[in-house]
Amino acid sequence: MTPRPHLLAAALAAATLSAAGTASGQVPEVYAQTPAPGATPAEVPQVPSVPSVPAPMPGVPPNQMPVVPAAGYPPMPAMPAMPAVVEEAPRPPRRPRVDSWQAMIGLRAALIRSTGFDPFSNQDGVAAVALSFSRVLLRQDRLALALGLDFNYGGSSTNARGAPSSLGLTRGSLLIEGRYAFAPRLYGFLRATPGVLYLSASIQDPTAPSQQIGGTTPLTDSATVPAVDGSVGAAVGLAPRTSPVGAWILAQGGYGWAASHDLVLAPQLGGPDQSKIAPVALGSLSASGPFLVVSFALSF
Amino acid sequence: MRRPPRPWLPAPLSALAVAAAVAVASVAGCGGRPDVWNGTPTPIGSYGLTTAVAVLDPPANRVVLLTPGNDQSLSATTLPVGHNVVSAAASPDLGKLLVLSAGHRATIGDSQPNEVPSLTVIEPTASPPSRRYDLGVLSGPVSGLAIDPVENRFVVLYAGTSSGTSFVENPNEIVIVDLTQPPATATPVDYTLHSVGGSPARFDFTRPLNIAGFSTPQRLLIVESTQDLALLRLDDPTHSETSVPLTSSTDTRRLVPAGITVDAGDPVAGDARVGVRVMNDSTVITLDLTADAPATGLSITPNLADVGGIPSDIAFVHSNATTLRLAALVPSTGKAVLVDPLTSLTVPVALPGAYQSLSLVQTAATPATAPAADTALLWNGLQTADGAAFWDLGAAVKQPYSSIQTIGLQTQISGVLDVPASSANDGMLKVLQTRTSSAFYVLDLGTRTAAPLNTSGGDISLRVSPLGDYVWSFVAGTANVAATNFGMMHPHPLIMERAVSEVYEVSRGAGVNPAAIILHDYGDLGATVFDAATLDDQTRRLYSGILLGGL
Repeated sequence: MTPRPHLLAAALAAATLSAAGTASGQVPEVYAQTPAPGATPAEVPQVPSVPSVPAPMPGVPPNQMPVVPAAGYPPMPAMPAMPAVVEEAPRPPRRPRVDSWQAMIGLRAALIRSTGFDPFSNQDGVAAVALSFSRVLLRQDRLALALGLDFNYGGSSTNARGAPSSLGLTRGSLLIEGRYAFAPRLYGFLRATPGVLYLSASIQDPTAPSQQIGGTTPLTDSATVPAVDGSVGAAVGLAPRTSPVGAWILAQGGYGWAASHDLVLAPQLGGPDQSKIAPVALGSLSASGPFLVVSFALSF
Repeated sequence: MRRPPRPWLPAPLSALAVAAAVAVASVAGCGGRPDVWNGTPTPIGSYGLTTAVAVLDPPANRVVLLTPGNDQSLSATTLPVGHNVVSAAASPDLGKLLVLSAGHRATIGDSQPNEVPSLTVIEPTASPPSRRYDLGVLSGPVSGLAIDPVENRFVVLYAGTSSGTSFVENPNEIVIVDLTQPPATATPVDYTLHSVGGSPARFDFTRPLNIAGFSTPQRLLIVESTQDLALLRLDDPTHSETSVPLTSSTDTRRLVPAGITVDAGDPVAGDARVGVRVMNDSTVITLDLTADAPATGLSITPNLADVGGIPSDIAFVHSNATTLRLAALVPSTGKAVLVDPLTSLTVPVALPGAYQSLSLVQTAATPATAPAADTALLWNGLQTADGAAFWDLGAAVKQPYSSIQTIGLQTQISGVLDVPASSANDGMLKVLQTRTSSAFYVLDLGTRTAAPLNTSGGDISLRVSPLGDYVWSFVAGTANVAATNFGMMHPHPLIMERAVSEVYEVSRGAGVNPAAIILHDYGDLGATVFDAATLDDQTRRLYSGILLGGL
C-alpha cells in the first residue's frame, strides 16, 4: 500500500531533521531551554549581539574571504528540535469495509427493441428507478456474496397515432451479487436478479366506449411475466473508512430478459357490458434488452 | 427580495441524475419507432366490399381488411400497398378494392428505396388477397382511376385532376390494365389518345355492342374529353382509336361532352349506337357504329338533333320491342324530347315537372318482369312539388308514349338507389333520396307507391344493403342509425355509443347471417358489429383503436 503523500512528506522531513541534529552535536542550551512560565524579558537569556563584519583582507576578494567565527560568536545552532518523531509501526494490510447491509437507489436506462414497445415510446429506451436492499452473507478475503431484493419501477408515455399511451414496467427480483474488493473503496460485482416483470399498458383512444355518456375508457392490458437480469458493475466509495456508514457510487450494465407478452388491449367496463367489448391486438411486447444503471448506495 | 432558486436536487443526486440522463441519452440515440406512430391515421377511406370492409390507411401504406366472423368477431388483416397512395376505389361488383400509389423516387442519400407507381388489387376472396401491378410503363405518377363496371376487368389509369406531382405530364396518356392477367406477366397498355387540345374527363366502359363488321360483340372504352370523344375497342385499344371532334353546326364553339348513353344494337343488324349530350348546346348527337375496312377500328356516322334546350339527361328507350328512341330531358322547357336516331326527327313530350334526371326502371330487355316498352322514372325536378313521375313509353294513339304518372311526393328527389332482389323484395324496389333529407321513400315499381320514411335529422345518408334486405340510414357524426327492412318497412333504430361515419352490410358466407359493420372514423377508428339479421343489441360487439393493430 502506498503511504498517503502528506504522511510520506512528514516522515521524510522527520528523517532529515533527525540526521541534521546528529551531525551538529548537542543542541545549544539557549535553544534547548524553555522560558519559565511568568519569566520577565530580563530573565530571558539574551542572545549575544552580532559583531561587526571583519575588515577586508588585503588582496583577497571579499567573496573569497575565509569565514571565521568571530570571537564570542556562538557556534551555529542546530535546527530547532521537531516534535518527537515516532517511527511508524508497520501498518496492517488495508482491508475493505466490512459493512454487511447495503441500500441502493438509482436510475436505470434500458433499451427495448421490441415492435410492441413502439406505441408507448418515441425512442427505444425506457427509464426506471432502481431500488435494492442486500446483505452480505458470505465473505472470504476480498470476495463477498450478497443476497437481497431488487425493485425497478419505470415506464414510458407518448402518443400512439395521436392517442395518449403509456406503459408501466415494474420489476421485482431476488438479488444475488458477488463482489470483489479491489481496494477499500473500490469493488466490482456481478449481479443476477431473477424475478418477475409486471407490465401495464394503456391507450386513450377516443373511440373506446365508456359507461359514462360521452366519455371514454382507456384501452388497457397488464401481465406478469418472468424476468431475469444479469449485469456487471463497479462501486466507488465516497465516505472515509472511519465513517460508520459507507457511501458508494455504483455503475452497472447488463442485459435484462423478460418473457414476451401479446398485448391485447380493451376497455375494462366490467359487468355484462364487458362481453360486448372487443380487444385490439398490438402484437408481442418483449421488454428484453441491455440496460445501464447508475446508482447511489449506503452500506453499514 | 426574491430568493435565489434552490437546486431541485441535492448535489449528489443531481450528479446522479445527470449521469443517468447521459446513460438514457446514449440508449435513446440507438433508434426510434417508425414514423407512422408519430402521426394520426387520418385521412382514411373505407370501402364496403362483399365480404369485408377495407380501410385505407395511407400513413401506414396499408389497407386493413375487416372481415366479420362468428359472434360478431372482426378480424383485421393488414395488406401493404405502395407508398404515396393517390386514389382508391371499389370495383362496382364490390369484389375488389383498387389502390393506386405514386411510389417513391429515391434521391441521393434517401434511405427509402426507389419504388415505381403501382396498382394494388385487394380481393378478399382470392388467395392471396392482395396482388400488385408495378406500373413502370408510366412516365410519371397519375391519380385518375376508372374501373370497368361491366366485367370489373379493365382499369384505366390517367392523369386525373389531382396528381400535380409531375413537372410535365401528358393528360392524354392512359394505361389500361387487364386485371385477369397475373401481375408477373401482365402487360399494361400505355397509350396516348389523339387529341385536338382536350384532355380526358370521363371514361365509359360499354357492355358488348353489336357492331356491323365485327364477328363478335365488341366492348368499347369511350373517353369523354373536354371537347371531343375517343372510342377504343378494349380488345385492341392501341390500334382501334376513333376520335370524334364535337363542333357546333352553327358556330365555331367546341362542344363539351356532358354524358353518353349506349344502345347495344340488334345482334343481327349490328346497329349499336352511342348517344351524346353536351354541356353547352341544345344538340344531341347519335353515333352509328360500324367496323372500318380492316375491321380494327370504327367507322362512325354522327347524327345531330336539336332538342330545344340543353338536355340534362339522355337515355335510349324502347317504345316497343323494335322502336328505339333517344330520350332527352330538357328542364328549361319542362319537356322531354324523343329523337329518332335514324332520321333525327324529334318529338317533344310535355312533362308535369321540370325533371333533370331519368332512370330506366323497367326495360324491354327484361321481358320476364317488364312489358314490351320501357318505363322511365323521372326525378330531380327543379321545383319542390315536382316529386317524381313514371313515364311509360309504350305507344299510344296520337302520342309517342303511353302515359306519365306522377307520384305525390312534395319534395325534390335527389337520388335513386337500386335495391338488389332478395327474399325481402322482388327486385321491384327503389330507394328515393330527397334533397332536404328529412325523409326518404321506398318506391315499389310494381304498385307504383312510394312509402315515406321520415327522419328527425337532416343530412341523412342512405346505404342499400348489397343483399337487398335493408336500407340503412344514418347521420354522419351522430349516433343515429336505423335499419329499415324492405319486407315489413319496419325501421329498427340501433343503440350506438359513438358517432357514426359509415355503415356497411357484409356477407359472412352462405348459411350465416350477414354482419353490419358500423364505422366510427375518429381517433384510431372504432367499429360496432351487429348481426344484420337479428340486429340484437345484446350480441353486438364494440371495437376500438383498430388502426393501432398490425403495424
